[in-house]
Amino acid sequence: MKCTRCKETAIVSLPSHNAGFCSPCFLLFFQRQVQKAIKDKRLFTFADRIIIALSGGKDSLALAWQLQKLGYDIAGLHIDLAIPQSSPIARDHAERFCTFNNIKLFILELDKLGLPIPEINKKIKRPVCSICGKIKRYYFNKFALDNNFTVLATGHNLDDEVARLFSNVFRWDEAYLGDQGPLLPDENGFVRKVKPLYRLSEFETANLCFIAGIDYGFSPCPYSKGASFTFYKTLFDELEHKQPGSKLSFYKGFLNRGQKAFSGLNMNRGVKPSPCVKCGYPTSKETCGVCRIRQMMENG
Amino acid sequence: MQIIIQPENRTKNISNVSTVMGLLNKLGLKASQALVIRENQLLTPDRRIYQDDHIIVRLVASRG
Repeated sequence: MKCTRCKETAIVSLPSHNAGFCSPCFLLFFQRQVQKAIKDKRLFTFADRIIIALSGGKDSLALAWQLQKLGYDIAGLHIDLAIPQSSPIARDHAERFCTFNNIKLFILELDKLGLPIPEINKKIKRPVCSICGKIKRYYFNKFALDNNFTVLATGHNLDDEVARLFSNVFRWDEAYLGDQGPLLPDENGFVRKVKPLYRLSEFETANLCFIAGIDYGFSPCPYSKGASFTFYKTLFDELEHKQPGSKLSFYKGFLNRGQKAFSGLNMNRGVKPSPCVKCGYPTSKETCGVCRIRQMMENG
Repeated sequence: MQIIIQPENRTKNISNVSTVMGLLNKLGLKASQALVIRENQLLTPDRRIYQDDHIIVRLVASRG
């Protein structure tokens, strides 16, 4: 297979774009996809201070690498979940990546904040994933606002977004469908949240990491076994294999033609968040979810 | 040929395959689900592979 641009031997085949690329041309392709996402959705500008949620996995590291190459003002924030089987490995990758690339890295430790995930997992009967997500969103948002960052960027890729969209459609969850997209504006006490990799698949970020020499963490979370999103991703891989380009088409179709309708429903029905009585974080209840978890942990 | 499947670093011996696509089929993988690496070079599905090759198949899906 020859590179679509320069006719050298291709090292990456992308049926979804009806293209193949050599190493330098793939890097250019990746950069252009990120630039297009930023421009089309007006995610941020060079004036913004961007904090990147750095898990230590391939997507967040690929995002940081690319935004730094493009010259944006970035720093990383890693949340150490205190899970013995995976957290030290994830943290080590985030630290080494930032040291090597000279990116400022902040680390929050849930153990020190009284919210270690394994301890929470012992106290609840349902999967801990939704609580873990809630705690991470809370601290990413709070850290960004407390430290004058104007944008919080995450490494969610096309596969993440398609799996989420499918899950939301499957349940016809109007509220979640109204909020889904690569840009959530800053309002009601929330920092602006962006997903600049929404046009790129996991396969593409994995290729970027290999070509750019980014050493990323492989260690899966021990609590994520059987997660429905993983199953949905496998389903969509099958569809993409038969109909290349279907993932991007499904997601872009939603953004261009579906999202607005659900967003309108939310505006009419949604409850405007008010500050949590304990910590001031925006919440639709009197006390926010994280303060309620903290209370549960303190009650033993 | 000897295959190392990452991230688990499982070793597997596979025979009677002559292309990357054939290898992926034998492993039950789609082309977009793994990087196939030989001598630190990425291989596209149409590339030929040989019995004495040492190949890494790196799965790309994040699992939490």
